[in-house]
Amino acid sequence: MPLLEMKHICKSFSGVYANENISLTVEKGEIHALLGENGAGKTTLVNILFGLYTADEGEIYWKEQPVHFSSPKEAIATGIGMVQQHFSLVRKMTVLDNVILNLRGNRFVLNRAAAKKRLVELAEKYQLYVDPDAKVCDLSVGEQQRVEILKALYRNVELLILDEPTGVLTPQETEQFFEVLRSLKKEGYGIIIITHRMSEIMSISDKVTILRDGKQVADLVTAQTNPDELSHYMIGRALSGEMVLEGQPKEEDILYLEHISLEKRHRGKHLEPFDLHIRKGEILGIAGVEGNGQKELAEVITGIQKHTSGKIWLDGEEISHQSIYERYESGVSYISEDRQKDSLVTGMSITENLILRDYRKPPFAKGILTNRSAIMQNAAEKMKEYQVRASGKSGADTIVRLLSGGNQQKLIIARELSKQAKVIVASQPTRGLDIGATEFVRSQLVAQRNKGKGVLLISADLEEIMAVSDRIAVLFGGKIVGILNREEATVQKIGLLMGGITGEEIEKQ
Amino acid sequence: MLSEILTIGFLTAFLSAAVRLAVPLIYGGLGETIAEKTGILNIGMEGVMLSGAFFSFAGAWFSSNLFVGLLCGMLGGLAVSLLHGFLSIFLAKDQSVSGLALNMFMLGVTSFLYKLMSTGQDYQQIDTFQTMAIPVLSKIPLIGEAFFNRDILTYMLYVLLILTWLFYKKTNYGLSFAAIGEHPRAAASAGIPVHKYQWISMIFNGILGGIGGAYLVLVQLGVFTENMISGRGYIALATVILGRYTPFGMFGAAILFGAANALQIRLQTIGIAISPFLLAILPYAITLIAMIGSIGKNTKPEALSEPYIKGAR
Repeated sequence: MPLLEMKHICKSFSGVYANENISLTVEKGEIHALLGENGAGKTTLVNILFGLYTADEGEIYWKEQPVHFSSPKEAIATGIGMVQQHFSLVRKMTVLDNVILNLRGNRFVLNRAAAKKRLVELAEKYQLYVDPDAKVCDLSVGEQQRVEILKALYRNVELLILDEPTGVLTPQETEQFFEVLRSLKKEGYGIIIITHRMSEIMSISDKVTILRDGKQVADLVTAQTNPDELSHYMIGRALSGEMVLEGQPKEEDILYLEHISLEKRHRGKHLEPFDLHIRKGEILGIAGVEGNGQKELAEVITGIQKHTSGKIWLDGEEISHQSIYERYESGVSYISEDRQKDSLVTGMSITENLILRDYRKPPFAKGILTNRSAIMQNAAEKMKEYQVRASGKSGADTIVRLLSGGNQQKLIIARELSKQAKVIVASQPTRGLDIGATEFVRSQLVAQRNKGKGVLLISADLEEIMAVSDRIAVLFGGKIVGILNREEATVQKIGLLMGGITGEEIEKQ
Repeated sequence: MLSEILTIGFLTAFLSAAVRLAVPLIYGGLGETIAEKTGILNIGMEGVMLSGAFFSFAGAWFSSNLFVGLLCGMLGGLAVSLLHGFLSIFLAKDQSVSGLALNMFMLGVTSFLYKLMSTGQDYQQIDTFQTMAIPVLSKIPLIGEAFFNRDILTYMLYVLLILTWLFYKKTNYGLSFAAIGEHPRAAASAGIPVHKYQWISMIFNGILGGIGGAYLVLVQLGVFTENMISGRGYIALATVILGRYTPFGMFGAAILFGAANALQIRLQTIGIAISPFLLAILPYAITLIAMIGSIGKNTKPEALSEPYIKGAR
């Protein structure tokens, strides 16, 4: 008897299908992977299952009984729990309070002592250790994830949905996490795991359902497939292959951070003093679990945040005291991690966004007026060169908000990879992009490197970092804890560094 | 002059005045705390209290019954809060704009209605709730008079404060209500009906704010005048922040403000050689200083004043 069956699910948002006729079956003790690119409809499907969205068409059966969830409350009561990609935890409350929040069977006056006892037992059983009295905001991301799972288990769910659970974990934490999943599987829990990482699917899942553009393109048994077949189904074509890093980086530095640190009032140290070199013709990858100082590092280099101590040298010239604008003029370009907040004015057109950096200079400015024809010409050229696709009707005047994520990112790259750029700070440049756009962005960064420019590539995606970096530095707790050359870098070594284990400690092991 | 201030008689009267001035703020502040805990910022508290004041006056005037007046005040406040709820919960509009608009709207509405009511008579006075000393407690030196020789509404306030505190601290529903203001999506995922609870908190916001306004009429003054809340609604908002979104913290902040106000009035009557205009600034200056002192400790509900829209992508 299947635990869960979803049949012919359809859901559209403003006329566009996010899910089109999708069916899914999960047995007890089965780990079922949902694979697909961003926007393929995975999250929509599980949100329907969890009662967050309502399906336009289709049926859901739980243990062969038809069910209909109009809210998560009903899904939970039936036995379905979900750990969302963005955690649903109340940061200011304790772990225990988060777990017992709105629990069925809570008495009017809470019995926290009894609840704590049960929580500790549960944590012991599945090795999900976490302090019940700690506030969630004081926990690491890995611990918060444990809280999410405990929250679901505490509610006696039988089916657990995990939406991109490993994106925030180090490789070692991921392995521990998979151990937990295996023990849950042994206990007979059904698990739906959403991911786009082939290696994880191969190692943890029993079956795979692949979605593309809202449609179901394949149902496979993991043991009978391979990563190539999976990616073929997922993107519908073969990948164009590896990036070529031509030649070696030069000896001279293009960017040198000398003993740089960042402190904030009331909020402590964000970057501990360290040195960092980027050479001409080099991509320096910055690996690390998010929130360990990546954003601060990027913003200190670009001048958005003022560093507390140390000096910044660009091509032999000190730029520590330059403003954001002056640094851009000197040659610091920035592809920020939050496209819509930090890099684009989403309510303005493509044309306007392309001159955000240069509007006050000729040829775009003529005295205090703008030069419309030069601006239009610039937009036409850049859109062609960087393959920015806008809607047919408005063309270059399309409002940026209406572009896809990939086209927004191409637009930023078109603007930032200017003639005077010497160093490109690229923060999570392929996050949320489909595979085609990802390849384009990476090839552009590699092309800049091959031209002799310096690239600082900050990414949470270890595969990306390892694919294109000449050297890899690891940030942990606001500090560079190790730098590895391309040849010596392994997932294992980087993973340990990401978890805060220093280079010397690795040597000893 | 210092010896004049430091007599038991003076201090007793001073503390008593502080509490009297604080009670309307505490009612407003308690209503606001409840609303903000579920993420709804009601800047319209001034309008809620003004509505409470006017309708309690009208109710008491026409019925000659203070309890009918109180009920009308509660309903008057409730109406304004529900209007704010309609704009900010149902329509998901900007809460600051809605609140400010309601304040000005209610100023106009109450002034107009009062004009209609008072044609021909320029001064209307009603009876007020009498003080009822609590045996033993009211005989405690210094604080007995201030806290336990008061009216029924003040005693009711003590009970409400304790109940509210227990509600958030100890009960299942309290945890759910507090979770909404912090992270409505997480609350929804835990099966909490976010909008329903926000509506419930707006009901309390309106009733309590309404009583806060009614208190001025039914206990303190016995009259209604145009714009008689004169900023107390805004001060109530400040006491919530100063009190770090806890009932007793808010209570303390309101007493502090009441004391500052009582002090400046007393200093004026003593005839101290400082301009009365300067003295009148004192309570607000103290509020500002206290706010500066609480910098860096963020206790604000994280999702305060962000509309929650179910199923939005």
